[in-house]
Amino acid sequence: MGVCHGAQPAGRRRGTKVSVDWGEVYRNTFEDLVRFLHRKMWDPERARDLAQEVFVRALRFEPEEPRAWLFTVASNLARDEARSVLRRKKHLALLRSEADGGPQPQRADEAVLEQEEWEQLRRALEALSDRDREVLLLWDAGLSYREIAEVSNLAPGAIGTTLARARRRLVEAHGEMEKERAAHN
Amino acid sequence: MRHITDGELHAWLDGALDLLPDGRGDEIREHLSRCSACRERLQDEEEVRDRSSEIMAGLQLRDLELPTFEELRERAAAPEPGASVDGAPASGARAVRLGGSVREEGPARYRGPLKGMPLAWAATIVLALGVGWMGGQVWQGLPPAQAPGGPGDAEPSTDRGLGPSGDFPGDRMGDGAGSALPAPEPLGGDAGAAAPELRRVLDPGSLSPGRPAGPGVEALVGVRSIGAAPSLRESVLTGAAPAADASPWPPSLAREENRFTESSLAVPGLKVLSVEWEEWLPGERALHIRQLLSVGDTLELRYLGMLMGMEPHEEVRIARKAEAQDAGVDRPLSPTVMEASLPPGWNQVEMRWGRGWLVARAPLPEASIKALLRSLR
Repeated sequence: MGVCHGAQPAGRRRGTKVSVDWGEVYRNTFEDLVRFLHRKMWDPERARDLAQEVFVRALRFEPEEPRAWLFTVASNLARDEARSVLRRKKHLALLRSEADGGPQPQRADEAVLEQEEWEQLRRALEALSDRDREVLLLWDAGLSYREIAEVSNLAPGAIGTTLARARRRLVEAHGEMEKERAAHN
Repeated sequence: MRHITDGELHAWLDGALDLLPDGRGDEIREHLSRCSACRERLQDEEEVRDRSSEIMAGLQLRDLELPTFEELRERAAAPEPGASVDGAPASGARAVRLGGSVREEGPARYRGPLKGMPLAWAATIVLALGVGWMGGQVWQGLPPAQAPGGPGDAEPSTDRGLGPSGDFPGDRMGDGAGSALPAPEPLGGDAGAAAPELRRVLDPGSLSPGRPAGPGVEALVGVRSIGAAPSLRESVLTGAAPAADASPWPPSLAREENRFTESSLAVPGLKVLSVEWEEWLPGERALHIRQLLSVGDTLELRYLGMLMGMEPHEEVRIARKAEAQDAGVDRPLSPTVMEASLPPGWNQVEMRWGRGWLVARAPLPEASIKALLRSLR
């Protein structure tokens, strides 16, 4: 059992007060945060709830670098969620029943189609390694290379390499699933 | 100059060349201007990048009602859950009041896995489980003549499908003295009146909706903690310290009682995020408590070998296994399985806890985890 710490976000320094427009941070980040969490957990309401929890904590803690802090904390919480065996089972059940309990497209066939697409994206993302997926999701959420490096504890120069690998694998995995789907239909 | 790597091409496409070290960004710009092979690769990688973005953007979350910034700010300004009003660290006993503030925050609040069950209840369960469990040691230490209880209050034992003697499988796990003692039974009066409320809270079905309700939790907590010590039961429900003159114990045991009241299965001062049952391996059910550390990390506590929520025959089997553990022969396998799944940066600490095991995991050094665990006792 090694002794090391995971990524720790930059916190507030004692004696220094950085002025952050939190309304602006909310407008630019909150939806991305929900989206990021949703693609890690696949439960929209839970992603929304967790994003709220993270943002409220940020408002209390007032970190210097809000976006990196928000995504680091969100990532930690989501990772913890994912480790829970029971909850993972529940999420899968929710995913299966999303058409019943989640946002309702007007037509049943649309709902089925959308659910298939969500499932396809989820499976394609699962084809990536944890680190590659994390970096890709952070990029998708709008973080810069520097911010991704801070959240993921990677060197800024390694982000491009990780993203290149993640994107290629995602496209390949998604393409394979498209073929499977076409063959099945 | 060497050709450009795929990663560098993506950094170019993402406008992040300047982050590359040692002036590599300028080299790449120059190289691309004169290397047709790399320009072709750049086109390929651009297609990959665009297709990836297309896949990721293909589906959007729709119709999900998000909180406004004002709502979040209002919530942030409210007293922080996990800290008391006077600023002192929260203890398990105070969680009831603190959980109340969470409950008042309306639909925007964070909901743990016990959806619909306010965390105050969860904290109460944690405390009650702790009291009920550790209370067993008090009963074992009581001489038979001082064991509280009346002859007409044996109903909970029969509820569990046990024998007419009303003894508990858990009593068989100890050193043998426990089985010779009469089972602790409700005192009657107000203790019996309060029992239904705790039973409702501690219904195993409410802990884990998908699992059929078993009698174990009710039996261990509802009978032992309520029946044995009304003042203890009172403190579990209210979070208040029991009145000194209300203790049914001899003076030496009354001190023990107070110690149990202050004890908790959760680390005092850390917000309880969730309480749930887990089963990593068949027959090794664990009570899993998640608590919030700083910056979103969590402390995971898993209590194995607690005889709650199991079928009676299962309890007996686990009890026998626990006896073997006491002799140092056996050890649950779950901690090993858990350790194999430890994420990078996390550490795991195992220790005996009463008749069972406590497994704690957190992204902290082992010494720090042990320091946290010391506050449990």
